[in-house]
Amino acid sequence: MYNEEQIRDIGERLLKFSNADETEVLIFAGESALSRFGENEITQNVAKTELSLSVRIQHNNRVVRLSTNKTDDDSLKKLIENAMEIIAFQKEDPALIPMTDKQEYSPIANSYFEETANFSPKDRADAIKRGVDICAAKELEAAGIFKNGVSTICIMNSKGVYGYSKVTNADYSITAIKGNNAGWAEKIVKDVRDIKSEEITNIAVKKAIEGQNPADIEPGKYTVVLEPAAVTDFLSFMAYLGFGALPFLENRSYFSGKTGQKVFGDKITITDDAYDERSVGIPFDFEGMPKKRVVLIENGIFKTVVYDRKTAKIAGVESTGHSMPQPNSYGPMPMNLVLTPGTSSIDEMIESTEKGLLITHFHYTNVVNPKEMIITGMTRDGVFLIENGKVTKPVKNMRFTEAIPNMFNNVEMIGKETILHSAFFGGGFVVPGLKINNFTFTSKTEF
Amino acid sequence: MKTYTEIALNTAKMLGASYCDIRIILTNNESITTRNGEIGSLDRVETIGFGVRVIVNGAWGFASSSILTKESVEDTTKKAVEIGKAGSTVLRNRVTLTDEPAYNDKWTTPYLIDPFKISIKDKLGLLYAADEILRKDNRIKVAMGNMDFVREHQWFANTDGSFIEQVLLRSGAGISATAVGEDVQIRSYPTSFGGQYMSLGYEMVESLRFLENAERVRDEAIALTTADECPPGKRDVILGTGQLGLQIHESVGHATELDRVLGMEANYAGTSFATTEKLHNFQYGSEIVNLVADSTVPTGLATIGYDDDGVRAQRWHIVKNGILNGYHTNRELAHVINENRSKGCNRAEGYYNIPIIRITNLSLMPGTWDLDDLIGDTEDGIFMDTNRSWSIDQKRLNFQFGTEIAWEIKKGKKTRMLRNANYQGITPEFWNSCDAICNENYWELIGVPNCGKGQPGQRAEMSHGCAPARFRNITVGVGHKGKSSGQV
Repeated sequence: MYNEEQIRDIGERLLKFSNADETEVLIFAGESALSRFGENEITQNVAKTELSLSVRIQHNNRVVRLSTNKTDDDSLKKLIENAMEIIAFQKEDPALIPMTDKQEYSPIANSYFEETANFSPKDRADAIKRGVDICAAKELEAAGIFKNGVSTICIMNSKGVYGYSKVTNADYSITAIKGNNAGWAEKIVKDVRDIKSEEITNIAVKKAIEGQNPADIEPGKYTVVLEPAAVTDFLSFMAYLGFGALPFLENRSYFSGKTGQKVFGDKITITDDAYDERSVGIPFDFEGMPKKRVVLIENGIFKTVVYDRKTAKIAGVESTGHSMPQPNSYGPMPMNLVLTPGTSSIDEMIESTEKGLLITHFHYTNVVNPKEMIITGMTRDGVFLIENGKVTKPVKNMRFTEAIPNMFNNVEMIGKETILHSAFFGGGFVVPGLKINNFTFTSKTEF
Repeated sequence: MKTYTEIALNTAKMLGASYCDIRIILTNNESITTRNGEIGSLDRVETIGFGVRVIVNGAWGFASSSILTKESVEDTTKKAVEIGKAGSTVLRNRVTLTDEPAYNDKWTTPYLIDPFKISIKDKLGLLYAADEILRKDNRIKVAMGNMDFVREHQWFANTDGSFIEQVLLRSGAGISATAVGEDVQIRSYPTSFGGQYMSLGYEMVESLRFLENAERVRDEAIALTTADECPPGKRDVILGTGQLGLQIHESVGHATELDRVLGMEANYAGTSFATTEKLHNFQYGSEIVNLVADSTVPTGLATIGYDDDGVRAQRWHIVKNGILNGYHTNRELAHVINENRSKGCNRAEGYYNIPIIRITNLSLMPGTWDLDDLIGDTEDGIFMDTNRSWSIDQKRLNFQFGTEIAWEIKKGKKTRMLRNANYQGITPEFWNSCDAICNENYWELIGVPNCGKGQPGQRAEMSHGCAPARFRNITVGVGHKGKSSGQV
């Protein structure tokens, strides 16, 4: 395990070896361990310690990035030499933006827990055993994972930028299987003490048992109660397709040209907030700018997208601190979306539904039309019919094909409880459940 | 390297492991992306490290490190044993491996031109030249080009006595144009999501002829923005290779990974409808459907000398004359289907992951049709090509795919261009509706460089050979306007 002093030393040595106009180094370090189980036994048990660094050089208005996991002086010198050799072949870009000047970053509270970092293979095995024993007692097969780890990101550049972030994460996820049907539950946390494997297992077991012998159901429009895990796909795809400045400026985003317009229902407010204690955030972006809290949708009105310095310059605004490693071809992205919770419980959503479906989560969701933000995916691990305010029986899985704006315009109730969901590049989304009317299912499957 | 491998094997044996293998991997990657005449990314990566896998008390243990020293190899092996011992407390069946001969061998991907010896200037020059053609019309808002090269130098040793050195080389390249008008439409060449990938050198990039194809790609992207939407309904569908390759991957490849079939991927990737009691008796497709797994086919992305279990590459039928005939297996699970040898499908991403069963090169064998004759034989259909979207359920039954481009076929003639084409089906019904496959003149390998599976997630590469094929009475135009049921 590398500490801050060791990581900073690697970065300082690399910067010292570079004679380029500007040099930036991103260092990713961490330890991660994962125990995987299937058929009620541990099937994989892995651990890895890693450190990699990625250097960006800007010289004579040219740019290059090289990466390695070798950190001795000779390797770092060779890396810089290679970078300078490659950069000489590139064409000049007079519009190249200089690297970020020195910045100050606000600390993010409660992001590192020793208990998570020190959680051992035996601790994981014990927790899994408690879950597996519950499944075995009910004659169910359990499959899942327990993982824990520490992720460190450090950014330094030759203009004085220094940012260091260390976060922990743990995840227990279980699928309880009986015959053709399954129940699923998961908890992602920063503090491993918040994972009680028995409680999570019992949710999956209940869904598996109550999900037996699902009835046939025809596709069409339904009122749906989406548990929080089922909402995550919609936020993830919206982040990728719509909330970045690059597609927005190129008129490829659903939100292009809609600033200040009502795009979703009144109840919908979405922010990107790395500082939200329920999330897992980094206080700087991958070019060293401080992360800003950005309100993207406020009471259904589209306010803005997120920017890096390059897209901010094009748009004539300030960076919001959402750069991915530069240079890149996809632009800035939000990493810490928070869908503002409401006041309802999932039970209240069910009680208020005359006829509808309760959905656990979705599988293999993907884009059908990027501009219209139409996505498709399959229900999974627990779909139940709601009739007259009560869950009455399990039904077979179906495929939805739905436009995200339609969905957020048809939200009737928002959950008061949220979950933390992993997002790309080490981010996390804070997601409540939703009750949505007129949600479109387009086909069915056999189980 | 033998010094290191022997430390791992000896340490593991001394600590009570009944099996151990070590993989040391030196990887070089080069990735170049151009975007609208600028560098989108230019990254070169070199990594080295090793992973040690042990069986102790009947359970797997695995640990890896990027620090390749004698001390680190010993410590990492000890860690793997410790992890294995912890895992053995939740164990129902002891891991047993099928037999495989011990090999002392070196295997290298055949290639002509080392891509790492071609200058960045030449590579960027080609991408910029294509970019210029793509952006000659200002309706193209995003022109992209990319090249990716990977060389993996691996040393594998196990306690069965194998010591195998492999040098695997993979190259990929592609261009695309995104037009923005009434709609946003992308057109890619030679196929989507980064283009074509093969186990070859830079000669593959040269063979793609970007400059000769860029104008067509640009014009098709622009034309698509005003093309008619693919109408909903039931139609005969002819799939081009740029779509059919992924259809094979998702609906046959993943469905026949034995670990999925047995439920070991149930929590994430899912399971499979193609369960073991169906082996040798299930009508997966029509009689003309023959799907062959082949880790030896020249230029395939999964073409290797040996897998990460140390099993030599093989070729076998997954579907034979329409009947389910085999699975992708490894040394741990082959015995479950009463096979005494693994098919050699256990592969890991990098040194830092444990090998899991991966699809190898899986191909639909060519039929007899000429493409013009096949179109001429189709009364009312849609020709779809180049994947744009994919989704399939957790048992690999219900799928929905979208393509970049399509053309309507009326009375045996390819007519109007269609945008936002997609189709949906149930796997066995779909493959049983296949009534015509084009001949070997149209057959090509389509590379999939980014197949995700496992927890922690791992990426693997494989190719799928196919020629255009026809499928009867397929649901198309899902979610498109103009239909009451399923309208979005």
